[in-house]
Amino acid sequence: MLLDKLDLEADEEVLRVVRKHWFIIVSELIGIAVFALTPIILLFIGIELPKLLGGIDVHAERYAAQITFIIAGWLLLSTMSAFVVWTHYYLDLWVITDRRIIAVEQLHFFNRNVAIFRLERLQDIEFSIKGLIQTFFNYGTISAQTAGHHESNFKSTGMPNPDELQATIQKAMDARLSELNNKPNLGKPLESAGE
Amino acid sequence: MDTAPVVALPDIAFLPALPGADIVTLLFYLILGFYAIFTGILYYHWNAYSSDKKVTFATYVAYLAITIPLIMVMIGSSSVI
Repeated sequence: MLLDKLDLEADEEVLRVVRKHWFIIVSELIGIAVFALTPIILLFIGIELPKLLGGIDVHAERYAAQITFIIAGWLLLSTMSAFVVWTHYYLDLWVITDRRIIAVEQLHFFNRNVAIFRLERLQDIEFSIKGLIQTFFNYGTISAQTAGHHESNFKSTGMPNPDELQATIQKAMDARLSELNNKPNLGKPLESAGE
Repeated sequence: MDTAPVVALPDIAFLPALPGADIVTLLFYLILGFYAIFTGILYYHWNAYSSDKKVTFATYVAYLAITIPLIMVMIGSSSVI
């Protein structure tokens, strides 16, 4: 399981596990449902329309086995696509602990990106909610800048309640910084901590 | 007496004759192979990266509960063709 593999530090507490907003997966699943139903609708039109327009019976029952086979195969592939979407949605997450943010990005199967950002190195955290749908469903993009040997940014789209998430991270950052100020050796490597 | 125009069909005798039933069987085995590989990949990802055992189990159950009946339907219909 993921949390075992993340190898959390001793006494590290998971504050939140955040996935993308439900609207993201629902909109993708609606697209797949339309894709799945397309041959059934086309078949219905192909059989019923000649009957309605010219009273022509296409005798589709003669090809019942072939039609059933094709539709079952099509639905099987659609179901597999839906599970790809579900897998990417569920495995793509942020784990916010009291010490760091672990951003797991599941782009495709066999294309996975795991980034770890320590809270004391985070600088700006920004969020943006753009457009009618994002405003209505309250989701948006969160981006943060980290300071270190190499400055880097991270960004994640479709995050739910971005203002609340920003506040959670900010609070965790403040708590971590005050903890480090009180115990300055905490954040340093072992060899320098003893000096 | 009217005679219908004669249209010369292209010579396709070089193509191997493949009856409809064989095409369906071939297609079925291709889909089944793809399904087996996909199921393995799906299982690997959920087993390795999921954060909740209950959700993982529910995903396996839902996946098999939807896909196995569809495969049974495909087997049933391909045996009739």
